[in-house]
Amino acid sequence: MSSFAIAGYEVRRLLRDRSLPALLILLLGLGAYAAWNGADWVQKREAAIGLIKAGEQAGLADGRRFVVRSYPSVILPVTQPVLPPVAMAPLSVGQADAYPFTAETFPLADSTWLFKRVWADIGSPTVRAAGRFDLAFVVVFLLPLVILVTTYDLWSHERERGVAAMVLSQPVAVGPLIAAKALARGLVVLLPSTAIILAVAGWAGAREPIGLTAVALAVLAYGGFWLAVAVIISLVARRSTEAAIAAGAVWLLVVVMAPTLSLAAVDLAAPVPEMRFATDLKARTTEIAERQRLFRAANPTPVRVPAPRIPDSRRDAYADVVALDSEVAPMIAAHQQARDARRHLLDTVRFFLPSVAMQDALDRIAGSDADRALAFENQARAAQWELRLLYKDYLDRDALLTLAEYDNLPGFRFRESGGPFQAGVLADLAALVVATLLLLVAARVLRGQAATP
Amino acid sequence: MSQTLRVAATQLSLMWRERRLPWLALSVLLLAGASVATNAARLSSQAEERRAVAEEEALLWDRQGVIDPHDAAHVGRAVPAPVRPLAAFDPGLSDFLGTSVFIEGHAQNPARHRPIEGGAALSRFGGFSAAWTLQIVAPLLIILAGFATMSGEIARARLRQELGAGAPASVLVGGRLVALAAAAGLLALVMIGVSLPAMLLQGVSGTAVAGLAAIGGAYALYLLVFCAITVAASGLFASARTALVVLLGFWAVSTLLVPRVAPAVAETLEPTPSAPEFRAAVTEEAEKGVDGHDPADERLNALRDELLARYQVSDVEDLPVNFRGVSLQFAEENSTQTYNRHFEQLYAVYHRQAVVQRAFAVISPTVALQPWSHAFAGTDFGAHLAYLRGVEDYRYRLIQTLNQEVAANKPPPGERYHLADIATITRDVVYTPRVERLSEVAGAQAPNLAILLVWTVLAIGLAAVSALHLGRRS
Repeated sequence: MSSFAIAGYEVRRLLRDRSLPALLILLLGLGAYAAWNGADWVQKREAAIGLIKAGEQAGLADGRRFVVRSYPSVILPVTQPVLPPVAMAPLSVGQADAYPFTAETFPLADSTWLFKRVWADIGSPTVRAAGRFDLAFVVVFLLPLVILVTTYDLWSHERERGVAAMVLSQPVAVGPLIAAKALARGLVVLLPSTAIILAVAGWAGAREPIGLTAVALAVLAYGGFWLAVAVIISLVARRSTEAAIAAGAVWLLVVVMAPTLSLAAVDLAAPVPEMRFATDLKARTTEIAERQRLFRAANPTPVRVPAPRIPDSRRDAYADVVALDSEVAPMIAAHQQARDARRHLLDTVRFFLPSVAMQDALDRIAGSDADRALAFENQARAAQWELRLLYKDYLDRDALLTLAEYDNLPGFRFRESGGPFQAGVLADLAALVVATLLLLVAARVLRGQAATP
Repeated sequence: MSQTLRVAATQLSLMWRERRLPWLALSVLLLAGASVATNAARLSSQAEERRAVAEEEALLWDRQGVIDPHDAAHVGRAVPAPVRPLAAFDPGLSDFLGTSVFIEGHAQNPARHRPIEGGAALSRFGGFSAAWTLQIVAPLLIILAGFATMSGEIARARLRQELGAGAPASVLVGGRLVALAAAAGLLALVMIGVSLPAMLLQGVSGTAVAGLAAIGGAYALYLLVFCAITVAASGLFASARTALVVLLGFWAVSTLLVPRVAPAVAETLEPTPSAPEFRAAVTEEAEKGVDGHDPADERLNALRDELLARYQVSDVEDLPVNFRGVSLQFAEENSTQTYNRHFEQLYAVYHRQAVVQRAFAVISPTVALQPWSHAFAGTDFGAHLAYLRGVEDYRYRLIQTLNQEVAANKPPPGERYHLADIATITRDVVYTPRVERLSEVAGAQAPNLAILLVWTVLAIGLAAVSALHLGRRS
């Protein structure tokens, strides 16, 4: 009996199963709704960015009036850098709501100002707590159910009907037999499921070919892991009922329990930084500002003759802000270190949890991952620093900004550092492949059990 | 009745002999207990931290010294949110609500420092708690313990013998239901019981104990629904496999899928604005008036003209009050009314979303249970809103006190501003936290309790139908 014959029989058997089209239609329906949700989120985010940009333009126009009147100061406007969604954004909202997507840069603002005035998402907390119903949820949570429902009785069905003994009496090795059956089921279930996910993602606007390729690979890798789970269950479970319970339990463990317990453990090991830092920082900046005020009152800057075009009070203010920033820098760095340590732990845990690795891969492909949000924070901070250096240059030269210079000020543009095949995605795919291989090794060890009645 | 109890006792001993289930229940219980203990420890440190923050903020406020009172309005201060003792059992929305509000003049800020901020992909999988265990895992345990009580070859054979011996089907079904409900009730009781010491460590109030009792009652109904549906399916389907597939399908849909889909549909039907959209609308209305044709500048001019006419002077400098303070008071009142109107509209959208979600309780009792549990644990949006309203009331009184000081005192000759000691002028403005009364919570949550009761009646009715079905077949 060839592997092809076994696979062919398995495909025919599965195609006769009426539950398969029903499951695929359900996946299509839920996937389409989830993708539409993702597209709706992208549209809202773009509208919000449009409003921010309109506000920024209004600020620029206001500032321009001062430049026209040669106001005795360096008029650099408040700019609002934004993090735009990428082409594959409808796929997953990910961490996009948990990090700021805009900032406010102003040369004389201290380093704490950047995100101080930025409001967090104001959507209903009840809705947010339930979790976004996006395509990533369909893939991470529901796709494994579709695979398990169609494959849980991979071998137990034969055992129950007494066919197993007859099949194994033929000149066929048990390993290739189970493998052929699993691959056949994978072909019939996983390939249409992947096609459905790609189709609804494309329909929702996520049409970047390289992004879709990355999604396809990730879905196949994740699906492969669940097929390997089905193989293990089929080797261990004697009856279909047992296999169904085992499949449900493994799904609950891998997709729900293990990640949520891991998060609880991370919260315990590296708690979420609370509000104390903001108040401590405020106390420190107040203390420094008061000290600077007293110093300036006791040591006023000598009046220069002839008076510079830009008053020296501006230079004093600049010097004070720079001094304040350097004094609070260690405090901010320590807080940042604690945040980074927590995030690093969260990131590391994903390699041991296939469902989280899959979620992470989809977040990264969709550009809604934490690393991209942090890259935005860093780039906004760099933009603030550049603006400050520009301001200093004008102070040093005692030159006012001309209208032409004002109109040609460099704007902020987020520089993407990775694509759909960035290192993080490859690491997630590797984690999924390794998990699948480990299961296959376990299956090889357990293959003898398939022959026991 | 005694017959029913005997059947229940037999069923309990059968379930006890199936060693895997008690062990599974014990493991779940240990995990939930650990969750309560760690949550309680976290809450305790949060309470300590928030107390320290409140003290430090008060100190910073008072240390401003003698300055222009309006400068103090810009300095602002943070007001931390209270820690809810029952969050150790059900954290509810705690991670998604801000833990403090920064109050200042001219603006109402939303709560900040949400624990979900700054996470990673794993953060999307949060939510483990004792309440979550009772909502999601306990029903699964009930299904695994009960799906084969009357279905499957062995159980059917035993059932036929019992029916043949003259036992009424209703007694056999009822006994199994009592057994399953007793086991589930014990699990829930122990799980809620372990929350008590954790709460006692935080100095629990009588309200919290009453809240826990209300939570316990609702969970009892909820688990009874699953017990009755499990026994009913076991009686209605001869094949254990069919009963299991149907029950697992119901479990997955009602506890996992619908609670996720319902909020998404609610958001689709009742969309919330984005933060920039909200702020742009507030700014525009504050500047142009509610209808867009009543600019704030013109309203302020009218106020100035009215004051000039009342005091029969032609220049604001000649007014007996400081017009800067009057205009600050006007601007604060104007912006506060605008913010209040928009925030109330936003909260109305949240409420309509909750109503849409509640409609899904028709197919999922979990959707009715979750808001009840969050509300009585004080971890729902209603409790948070009471805190936000208390903070806003305080903010408005504080800022207008500062503005009143400016209005009542003209700057000394040669000076630009009137200066005052901030600690002295704001000493009588005290923040009084607002707390929802239990009766208010119960009133707001009555529809969810009604839905749970309907589910209970229907599920027990289904078990009765199953008994009838078995009775006829015998």
